[in-house]
Amino acid sequence: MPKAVFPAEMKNLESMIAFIREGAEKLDFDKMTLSQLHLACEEVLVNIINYAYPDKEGSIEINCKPGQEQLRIEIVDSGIPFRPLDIPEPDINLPLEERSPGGLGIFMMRKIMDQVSYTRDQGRNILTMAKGKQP
Amino acid sequence: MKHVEITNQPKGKIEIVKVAGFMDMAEVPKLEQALDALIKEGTIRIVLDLTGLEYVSSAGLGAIIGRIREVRRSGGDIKIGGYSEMVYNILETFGFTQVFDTYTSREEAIQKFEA
Repeated sequence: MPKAVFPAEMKNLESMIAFIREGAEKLDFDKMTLSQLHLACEEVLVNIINYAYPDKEGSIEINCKPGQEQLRIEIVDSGIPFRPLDIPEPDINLPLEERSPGGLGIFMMRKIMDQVSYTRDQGRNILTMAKGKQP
Repeated sequence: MKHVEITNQPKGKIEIVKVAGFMDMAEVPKLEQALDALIKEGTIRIVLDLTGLEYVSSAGLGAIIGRIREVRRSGGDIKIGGYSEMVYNILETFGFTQVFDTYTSREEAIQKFEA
């Protein structure tokens, strides 16, 4: 499984996404799916960069596993515990004035990816996401 | 490196802001600065032409939401006048076509302001 580790800093966001897109190449995703994949990964990574390490510097490990029909991505950090699956979904039917910007990015990720799972293991947040080819 | 390009073009009391390229988290401040400068000088009727925008994330949408709220409080609006397939997919999937005044072209959005 191709693996890379990056300092959890905004200046590395582009390199992290480039690593994931490289992993996606084998699957020959269409342009829309690639954009959605990019979006889901950006939302997760930005969240870790902004919130995982409030008092120290940290890193983000990315593992990409391209299969025949599906790309699996594992994103690991050693920051504060954060379980994205517990974030309540924003109500997308509310008028603009009543919408809260919080949680939108994580909601987008969950809706875009086909599978999302989370575990906390030995002080690490491990988020696993999968995206398959569109039928 | 992918960037966003922002160009302004006044049309009477309406300002057309064309946003093109790639707007990830790092590029969002460019849009915020462009819109804030217009609002600061009193422009409250803005058409956002997103036909050339290949990518936007929640940070970009958040920036647009904040500015729409601001100009609506002053009786204005920011209307979407054209969008790319990717942008429309995101706006539609996450319920933004219901709350942004969204049109397929800048001309249509301008007409709605002038009506």
